[in-house]
Amino acid sequence: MITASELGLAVCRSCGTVTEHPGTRCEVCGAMVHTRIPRSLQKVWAYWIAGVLLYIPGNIFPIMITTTLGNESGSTIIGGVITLLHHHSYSVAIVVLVASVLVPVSKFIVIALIALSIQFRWPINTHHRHIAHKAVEFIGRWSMIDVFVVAALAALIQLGSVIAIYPGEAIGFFALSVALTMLSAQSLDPRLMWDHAPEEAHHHG
Amino acid sequence: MVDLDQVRACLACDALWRIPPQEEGDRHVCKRCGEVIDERKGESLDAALAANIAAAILTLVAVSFPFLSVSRAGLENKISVIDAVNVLWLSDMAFLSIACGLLILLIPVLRVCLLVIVLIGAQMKGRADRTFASIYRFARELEPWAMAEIFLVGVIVSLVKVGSLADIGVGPSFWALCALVGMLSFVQVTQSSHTTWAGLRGHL
Repeated sequence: MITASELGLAVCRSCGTVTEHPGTRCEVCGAMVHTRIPRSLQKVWAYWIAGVLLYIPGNIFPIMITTTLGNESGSTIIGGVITLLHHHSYSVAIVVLVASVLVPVSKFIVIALIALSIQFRWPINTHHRHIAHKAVEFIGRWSMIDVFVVAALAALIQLGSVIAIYPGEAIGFFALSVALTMLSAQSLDPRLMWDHAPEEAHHHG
Repeated sequence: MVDLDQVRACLACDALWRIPPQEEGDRHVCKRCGEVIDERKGESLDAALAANIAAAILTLVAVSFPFLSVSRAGLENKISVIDAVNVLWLSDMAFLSIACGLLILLIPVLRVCLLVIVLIGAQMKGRADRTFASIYRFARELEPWAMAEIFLVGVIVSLVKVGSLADIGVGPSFWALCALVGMLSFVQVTQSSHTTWAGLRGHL
């Protein structure tokens, strides 16, 4: 088994064309072709830190404010889940909990573990890291659910003084946190995981 | 020296393999990491084009018709994605307005229109044009940011969330979104980007 980079070749991450000239544009699709994404881990950490920091206010402040006949009440993401549980809407409570809490938190942990394992050459099974990275890239965008819920309700429920719904301070922090974590996962070059993988990690099946 | 037309590199692990030209139904998986290197399905770009035109129409219906309606104490209100972006903007919720405008309106519409253009371009065989390839690359970069299907789940959650406060119903756009999600899954299952790239290279 030989890698493209060992022969001085590079593959276009967009269209898969192999070139002898890394650092130039792909002759098929025009994307920049690099042996590895330049400064991949630096970008991963920059987006990761920003994403984690914004996730904190995203959970502390209310994400949605409801005004019913003059009474104003704000609810945080977790508060919204608890309200749903009180209304016995268990399946929806689980959807929101998974999308807004479980997925973002596990994303932070998985991305950090993969990045650290590359930097410090931790002997974590590369197939497992590979699958975890793909899962994180696939599922991360679903964390936007709560943002869309608030947007739909804020736009729709404007029935004067009877009932009105507004977005809370948390919404911007939360949405940006999700977007930054998506960028963090995208910046991670999976080839870095395999560069120091032991040879016996061959795939069977 | 390596003949570049004979080798393919795995995008996930960079392993280099000698792979013969692929045909309909072929699927080549990297022996090192298990990632798909080339998978040819739906060699007919006509079918891909038809599916994407259908997706484009459904997307336009989904964003321009009401997705939710609400009534309480004699007041009624219904809203489309375009209305929502507009209302949020006018009500000083600029951030939400821009986020929704991009993620569920502009990017999904733009992406599906670009795909239609690319597939028309790929049909002009022998005219492997870098412009179409660049457009396709851009459309694929937009993919994670086109969140129509996530919005659909958001609408369902909204229904439950305020169901007790007001009388909430779904509009035609809700069903268009459901159909769109079905259509996008259909495209996912029956088409592959490798086939489109082959078409754009003039190799089909």
